[in-house]
Amino acid sequence: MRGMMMIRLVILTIVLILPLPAFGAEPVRMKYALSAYADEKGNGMNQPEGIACNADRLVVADTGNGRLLFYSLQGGEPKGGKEIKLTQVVYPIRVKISSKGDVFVLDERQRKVARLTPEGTFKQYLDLGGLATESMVVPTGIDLDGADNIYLLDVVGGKVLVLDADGKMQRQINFPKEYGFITDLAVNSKGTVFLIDGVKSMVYANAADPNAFAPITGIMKEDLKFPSNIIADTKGMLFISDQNSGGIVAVGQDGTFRSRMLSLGWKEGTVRYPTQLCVDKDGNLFVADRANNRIQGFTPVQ
Amino acid sequence: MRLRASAIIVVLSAICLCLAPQADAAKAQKAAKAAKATKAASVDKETQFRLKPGAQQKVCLTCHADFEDRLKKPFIHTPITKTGCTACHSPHASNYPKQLYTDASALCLTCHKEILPDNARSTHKAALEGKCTQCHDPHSADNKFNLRTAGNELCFGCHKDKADAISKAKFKHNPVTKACLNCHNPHASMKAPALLKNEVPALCKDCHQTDKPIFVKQHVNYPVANSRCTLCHNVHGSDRAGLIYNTAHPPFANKTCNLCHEGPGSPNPLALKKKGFELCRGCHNNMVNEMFAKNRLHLPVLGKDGCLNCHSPHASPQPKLLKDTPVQLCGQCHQDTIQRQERSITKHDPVKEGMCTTCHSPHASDNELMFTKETTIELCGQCHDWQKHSTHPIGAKVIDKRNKNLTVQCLSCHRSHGTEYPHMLPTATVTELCTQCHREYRR
Repeated sequence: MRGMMMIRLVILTIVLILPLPAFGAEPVRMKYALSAYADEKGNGMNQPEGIACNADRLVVADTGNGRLLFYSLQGGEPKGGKEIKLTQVVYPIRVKISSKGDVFVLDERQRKVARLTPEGTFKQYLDLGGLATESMVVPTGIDLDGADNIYLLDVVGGKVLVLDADGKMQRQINFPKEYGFITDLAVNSKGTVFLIDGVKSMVYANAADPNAFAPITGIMKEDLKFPSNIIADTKGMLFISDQNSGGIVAVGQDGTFRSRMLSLGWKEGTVRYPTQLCVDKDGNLFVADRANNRIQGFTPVQ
Repeated sequence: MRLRASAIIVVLSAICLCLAPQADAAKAQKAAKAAKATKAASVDKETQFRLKPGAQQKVCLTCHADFEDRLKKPFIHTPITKTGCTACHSPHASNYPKQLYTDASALCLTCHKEILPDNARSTHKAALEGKCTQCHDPHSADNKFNLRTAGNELCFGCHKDKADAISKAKFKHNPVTKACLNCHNPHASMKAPALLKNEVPALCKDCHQTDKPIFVKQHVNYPVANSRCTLCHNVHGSDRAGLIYNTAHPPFANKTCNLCHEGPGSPNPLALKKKGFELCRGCHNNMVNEMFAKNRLHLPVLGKDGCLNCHSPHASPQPKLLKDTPVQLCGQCHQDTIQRQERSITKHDPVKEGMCTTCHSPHASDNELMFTKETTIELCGQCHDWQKHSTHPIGAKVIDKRNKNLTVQCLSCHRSHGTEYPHMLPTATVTELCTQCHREYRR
């Protein structure tokens, strides 16, 4: 009898001692680390909208200057900043790096996707006209999976187009029913596709059925006023940039809200109209801080 | 066996015949008892509270003499005739104005609960807010239901814009001129939005027979019987025949529907010939090309519905065939911006007037945030001309001390859609803002 009482007492004590957050998802925290404002010659960025990174490289789409900047990543810090200015790419807004180092650039003015070599030489455009689709393809978002399959956001057709690494159509996934406006897509290493709805502030995924999207979050208007970009990291997180109210929101790939970070401002550590994001192998988050004409880096806080 | 059954029927009939008059008598007795009880209660009250004889009905009028005439009107609120003033007003003291028993917004609902059903699709704002007396006189009136004025005049007291539009319209919808209540419920509607008695087109079909040859001919043989009539017709009135909205798309006005739709005899006649903006490109090719030549496209242009995200393909009360006013239309996606400007202490004129296109291009632009001008200074200078030259140093040569990659311009200190602080500043005080750059003056 006494033994039972003791066990009950111990259980009660544990329950009382455990902090409440232990029952929920842990919040994601980031600390300001760095800002980069210019290329290797000191020429400043102008409205940079795109950013991509892998283990040792960071590429910036310096949109207002119509160029790309190639940095090397050393210990999470971008070095160099070689200018790549191509006649084939005039208004880069989003960039992605493949596993082989090829750089994919979405050119908003030309409504084309250009493929560059790791050194920045133009290789080819994706043949969007040759894709078997019902309507003209105007890509507004791009991501790559672990096998370098290409995922394009086709808002005209209301679909995600999945192409193989050579740009051949594999399949099409229709946007979910009742969507507001899909502003970006992200793909994780398993090939799950995530969509961010800029109007409804919701995230959809094709996790349950590879050929259909379903919401994984509710409407997040309180924390996400006008989401414009989304990325998936390798640790099960989604990062979403809240363009109009200046912030980054972290959501688990299962849809659990984790945290809202940053605020609107001019000083380092604050953002104005943030757009594309990327996460390097160490979990450092880089942000294209568009209206502040710079990129910023944030390190995770354990 | 047969004999036995007949005997039972006869006995039952006899019992019924005997009991029937007794039941009637019981009812009459009950009514008499109730009447007696009411009278007794009234007398009881008078004696219990030592009221003057007949005081319950008349004593209030000794002071509130003006009510004597008012209560001569043909329609008196039932509680007054039954119970008197104390049905709603406490004779001694109350926590509510006019010595009402409860808040005026809730008092009417204690008896008239049914006017606001829980699952109504739409409700009249005045009724929902308990402002019943905006339409009804709580004491007496010359009109049925104690309405303050009769007919449409009552509705037009608040809905002045509708009254103006209807009076100016060349062609008026006959039921509207007779009574708003032909189509709308006054308090709530269980079936439709906007207090409509039924959904459109079911409501319209109460009068308009869609199978009549004239209807079919007017709609160029397209099967529109189940389409939403109000997409094309202004049900209150219009300057165009057929009550078509004043701004009509030429192919629609000319009845060349097959420019955009499949033919009326095709298997799917209402289907569009092309999707999204490609449909409109057929006629508006130059406009689409101009848009695509810009750096930035407004993304809804590319959306599934293309131009039809913002424009009506048939007719509209708005200029440029817009589906709604600019602020309502833009607010469908940019709710956060609209909400911010609503909260803002200082109202920016174009924002206040809902003219988003004063600063932003709705289709495409080469500039950031779809601005209509290349620089913010140029943009703001369209209205604030003198501030281009008589102001804090601004322009391409003035570096923002907070960020070496930025130059000082209007948006360095102001947020054009407003903030919670005066003058659309991003900080609570001017000092706080200025010392972001002028650190030497920090205290």
